Amino acid sequence: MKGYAYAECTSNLPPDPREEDDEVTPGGRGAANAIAQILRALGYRVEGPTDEGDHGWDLNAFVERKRIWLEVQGDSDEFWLQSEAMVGFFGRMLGADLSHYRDLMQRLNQALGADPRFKEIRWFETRRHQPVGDPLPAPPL
Amino acid sequence: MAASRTDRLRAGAGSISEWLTDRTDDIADKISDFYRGADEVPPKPNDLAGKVAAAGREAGRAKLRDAVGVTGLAAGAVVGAGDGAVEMARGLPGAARFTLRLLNPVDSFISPRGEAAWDQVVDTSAGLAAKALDAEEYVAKDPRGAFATGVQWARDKRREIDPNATPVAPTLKGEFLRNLNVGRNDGRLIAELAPYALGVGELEAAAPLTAVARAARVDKYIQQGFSAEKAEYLAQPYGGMGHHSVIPRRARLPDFLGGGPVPQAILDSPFNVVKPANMTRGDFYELHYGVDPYFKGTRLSGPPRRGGGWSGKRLGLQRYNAPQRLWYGTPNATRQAVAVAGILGPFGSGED
Repeated sequence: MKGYAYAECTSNLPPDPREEDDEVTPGGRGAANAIAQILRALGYRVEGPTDEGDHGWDLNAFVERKRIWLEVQGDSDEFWLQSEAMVGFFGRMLGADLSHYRDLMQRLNQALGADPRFKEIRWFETRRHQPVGDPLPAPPL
Repeated sequence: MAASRTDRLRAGAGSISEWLTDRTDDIADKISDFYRGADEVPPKPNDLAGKVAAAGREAGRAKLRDAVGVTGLAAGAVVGAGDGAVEMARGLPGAARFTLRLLNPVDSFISPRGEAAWDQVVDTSAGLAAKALDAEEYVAKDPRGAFATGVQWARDKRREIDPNATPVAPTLKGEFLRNLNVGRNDGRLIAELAPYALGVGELEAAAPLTAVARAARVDKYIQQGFSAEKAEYLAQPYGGMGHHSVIPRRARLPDFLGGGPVPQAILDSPFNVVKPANMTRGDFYELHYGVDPYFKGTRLSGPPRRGGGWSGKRLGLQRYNAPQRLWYGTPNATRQAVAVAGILGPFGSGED
């Protein structure tokens, strides 16, 4: 099972407010807040969003002690969403159980599809974290 | 701007030094605990099989001591370079610009061969080392002369900076601490030598982006399809967080260190962040996209409007391959710390 997922998204959320020469506040805060809200409503413990500079906004969702990292880049009306099961190098090498990650991503995808704030979520197969092939309706995990 | 960066560098380097220094004993104890039993030397056997087994165990212990020593040396170099950067920034106002060149990963590419900031540092260190070795011959000819006094100083100095100049410690913890101190002195020496490697005129060479170069960048971004307003924005100097290279910001400490966030002083240290001085936003985004598969793009400044951010995919940019990522995506400070370790490695080998 893959421990990384990537999607390109559009939403009805307004673009984040910004100022000239604004390099302090990255884009995507509105979308990251909305995703955090959705995950909390699904019952997950969520930390963030935190400001990650060029990388946008990070969230960490927890299933017991297992951490799932999510990141929103771009702007709130058009953004990239990526996530990863943070099981560590040895966890990946030893084939850690990622069923918690698959469950969270599937539930998140369903919730995003049902949320009128989000218009389109296009998931992609990835190779070395790069999207390849045609868009998919659900995260290919 | 240079002053604030210098202050940041000083604060970051100081914090790293303090953080690692505070934990030196803890780390050494953890290493010692992890390899519990490795320091114990069993009684010497009398039979041949026992002697062979004992020789094998001793060879294993020696390898382990070497590995622990190298770890200590590397950690010490990081701390020492931080100390040195603090001293350098404190004592020499002109060093700020040179420091920026040291931290600029493209300096090695844009400077003539052998004239990059770190080339100067490394050349000077190697030159001093060579002079110290030649001096031994002069002392042999005149052992009571004034020169011998200087050489004694050099010998003392060598004990401080050369791991081969002092005996190996009997325990893993001792060996880690011995190498940590040597590495710390090495790192401090290299960082403190940096300004002396260049003349004051050379310190002025790290000029900001010229008007011509900036106009060329604006044109480049317009050619890429950005509006004149956005091209102008992209042609301004980059002032963001930079690319966190060795330890990404999403990383957490391992459980045995508490599992919390990695300390900011380490995350944002010059050894972890690629943030070239005098690089435009547009060029930095391209560099960031090339080296970091997690960086897809970012929004651009200006009035809120739908779409129109910076996207590497939309621009048709290619990610770098693994060797390119290693080269372009490793902070100069880290890259050169490794290079310096390579230079100091053979220093005095075979003499003890």
